[in-house]
Amino acid sequence: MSTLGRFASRALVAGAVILTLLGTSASAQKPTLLIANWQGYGSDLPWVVQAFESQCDCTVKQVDFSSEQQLLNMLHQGGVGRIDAALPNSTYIRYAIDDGLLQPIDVSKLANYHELIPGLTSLGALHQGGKVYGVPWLWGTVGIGYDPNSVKAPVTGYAALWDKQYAGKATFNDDPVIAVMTAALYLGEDPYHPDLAKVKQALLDQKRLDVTYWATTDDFTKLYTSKQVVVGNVWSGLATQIKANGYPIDYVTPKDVVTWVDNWVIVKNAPHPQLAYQWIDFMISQQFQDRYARDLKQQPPSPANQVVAQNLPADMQQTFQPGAVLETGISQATYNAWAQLWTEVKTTPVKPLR
Amino acid sequence: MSRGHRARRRAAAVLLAPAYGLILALVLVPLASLLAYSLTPARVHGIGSLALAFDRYLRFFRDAPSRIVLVDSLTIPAVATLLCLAIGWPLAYALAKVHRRRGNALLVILMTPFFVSYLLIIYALMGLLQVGGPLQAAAATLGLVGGTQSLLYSRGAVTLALVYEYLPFMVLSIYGSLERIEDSVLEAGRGLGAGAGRLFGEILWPRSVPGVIAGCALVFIPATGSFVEPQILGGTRLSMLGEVINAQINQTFDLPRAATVSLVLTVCAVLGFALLALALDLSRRLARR
Repeated sequence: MSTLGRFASRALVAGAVILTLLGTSASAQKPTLLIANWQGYGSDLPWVVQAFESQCDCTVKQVDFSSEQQLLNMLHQGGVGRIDAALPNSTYIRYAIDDGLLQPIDVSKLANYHELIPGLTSLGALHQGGKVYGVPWLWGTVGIGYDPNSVKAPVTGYAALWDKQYAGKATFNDDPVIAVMTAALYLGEDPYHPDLAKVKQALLDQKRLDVTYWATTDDFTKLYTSKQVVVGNVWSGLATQIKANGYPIDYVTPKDVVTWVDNWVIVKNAPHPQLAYQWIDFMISQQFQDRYARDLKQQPPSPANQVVAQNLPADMQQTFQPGAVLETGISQATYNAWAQLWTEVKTTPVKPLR
Repeated sequence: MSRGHRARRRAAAVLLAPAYGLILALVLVPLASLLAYSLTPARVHGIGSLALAFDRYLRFFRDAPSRIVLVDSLTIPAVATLLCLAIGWPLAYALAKVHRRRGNALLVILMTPFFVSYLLIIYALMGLLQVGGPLQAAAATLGLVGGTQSLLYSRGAVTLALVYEYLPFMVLSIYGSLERIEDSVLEAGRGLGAGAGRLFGEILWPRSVPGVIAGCALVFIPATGSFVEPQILGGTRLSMLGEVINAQINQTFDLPRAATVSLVLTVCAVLGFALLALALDLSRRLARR
């Protein structure tokens, strides 16, 4: 377990997973659709896999990623030509398109495409050169989740994440785009062109209140349900899931809220493009979206299928605001600067406020 | 005679060639490519100028947070190494000299953490240290921490994980050198009236120092490259350079900067270890006098 060995092994994990899957799929007779998604995010539910496998007469395998960057790495390092469909969000899809990792999608092959919310399908990030590269699947916000038993002051905006009374009881999402945009909105700056020096200082100030940053569903759930944190910025669906599991959590969306959209894409040189089309059509179908959106324990964000969204109970409906602060529309150079800033914030030791 | 000698040397060279080849391919070439990467202008192919290279290194050392993280990256593993030594030496002695018959079985038990993924160990430690976990509950009962105060996200939690992961390396190395000390030597010492302290100071310690040095190398050097432990168990309070390297590779995609930090870390880790080894060797020489 040398230092180098560990790094090498970490870097090779994605590749190894893919190779393992290929190994198992080679022996199966049915074609195997290989998709890349977050673990525990709808596509790996047993009923979902069963329903699709019986429709397509194929096998579905999933490789997991735990950050958007990891998905891009996976595609760069051997995923192209092996993975059929993947799920980047509206920020990272642009880099995948720019880097030539995706193939254009012929939406006429998707029977359910017309049921999607037009404000989502028309997002600039999903199009390039008049072609469609991404199919919106689910969307949500990154608002503030807090424990109503511990947080007594009214929470209305991101300022709660900077409120010193929660020092040692706060957490913050470990993602460069969410971090910079959240800090910019807190500071009242333009979320797309903020003053990066101010943003960095704000994020360093915020860090002094945190016990730790969170990156995955599991991270946040553990921190929150064991009462180590009482406030943090969190995905809307994750807050719903925690509440559905019986833990008190209130979720607030500030007026200008960081919003994300997850989109299915077909990877360049996908071995099974037809299956990928079938898969995406199934993912945006009422059949999937309705059942998934109603299963609160599966941290469902809001469905992109308009018909499904309109039929949800009133308390579950969220209206997509086309003017919402989308995590999209930032250039690669801006992203690099933000990522560098976030890396610096993450690795700068700060004196905790307790 | 000399012909036979030469033939044997030639045979040895042929037989050793694959091993040297491996060292060249797996150690020297990667190190050279790290150096080359650290001299490369960001996101441009080809080797950059020397001035640019120095700039990247200078920027690292001019940056105050980087310096703090570098110091943490060396001191946390150093403390973990000393703890491994403090726990590992008596353990190795017990295995080599006290429970010799059951020594092998005990060694196997000691090796079990080896077969467990370090990620599992870290997550298991999280369970023990978090609020309501057994260790945290015990500490809270003793009044050492508040009832809802986690032991996680601290220097201690990171150090504990490193000690747990690397202790077997230390014990095995020391065991090897202690086992080689003949009992007759110890008996002779005892027969001549040496107490436990003198036996330790004049026989056991000096003769175990080579194993101790090897153990320290196996613990300290890889521990300086830790990135999962500080990330998961250290929280926002501390960082180690391994995390910086990881973030530069996986989040910022800035490979030249990652290579620069890697080389700084490698050189500092080797220097730190050299200091430790010199001190240990000095203790051996002093004891022999």
